[in-house]
Amino acid sequence: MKTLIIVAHPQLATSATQQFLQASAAPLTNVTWHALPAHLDLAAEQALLFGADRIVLQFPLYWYAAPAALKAWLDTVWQAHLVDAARGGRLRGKQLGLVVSLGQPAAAFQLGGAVGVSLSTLLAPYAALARRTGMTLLPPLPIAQFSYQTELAHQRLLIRYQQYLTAASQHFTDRQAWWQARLAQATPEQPALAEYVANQAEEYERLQDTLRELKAEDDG
Amino acid sequence: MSELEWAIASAQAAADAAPSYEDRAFYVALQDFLREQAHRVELAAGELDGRTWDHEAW
Repeated sequence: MKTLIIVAHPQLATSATQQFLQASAAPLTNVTWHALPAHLDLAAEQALLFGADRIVLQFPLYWYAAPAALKAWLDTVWQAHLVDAARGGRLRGKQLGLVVSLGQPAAAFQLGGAVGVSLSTLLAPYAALARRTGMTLLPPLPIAQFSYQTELAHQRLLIRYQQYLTAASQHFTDRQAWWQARLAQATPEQPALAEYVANQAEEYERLQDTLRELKAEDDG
Repeated sequence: MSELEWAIASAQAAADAAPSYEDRAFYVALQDFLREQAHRVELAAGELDGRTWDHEAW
């Protein structure tokens, strides 16, 4: 699976959040970090877009929306005759992810909160975009007040972001498979830990199989 | 020490010995996952117990 990260940030070089995310993505294979340039080369942008399986739009929320560079990229690169699912769109079957950094606490983005509407409400246009183009929208990854977060929160974010970019999905079993694959590559090797995780995974699968059988019997 | 406690302690030891920031983050986040995985196994085992002892199915 190839993942393309489209980064739209007016002050990329001085953004601690974006620098952290870039360093977090750097060791990953099949992940392309693409900071939007001031001038768009249409053919090059479309080649990147159509060559990816998972497209992650990454931006800070400015006035409750993405910075203008992202909208300009969408308006220029996502040409309707190429991406409209009803016209055989070239994005059909791909995944659309959203990594959104917030200047306010996550709890502000809810009914009755300081912002007063949810992040899902603010990001609704991307759901429409995914639907129109036949893409699967992934649950967004919000990053609230990165600079105020603890070191532990940053470490957790690093891994959560890597999983957002490379795990098959964020469902438990896919994250479990991600951990198993990464433990197999760990240097120095951790054979005992890898074996423990594998045994637990087998136990979980065995229990789920039995539960599926019981449920099938109940339904029958 | 339970197996889970052993695994978490092993991951913490690996985090302490990790040469890079990314590796340290890996073993710190792994501890969260180990807890989540154990919880999932426990829930599934609990659900299985509940279904097996369903009085209507006796």
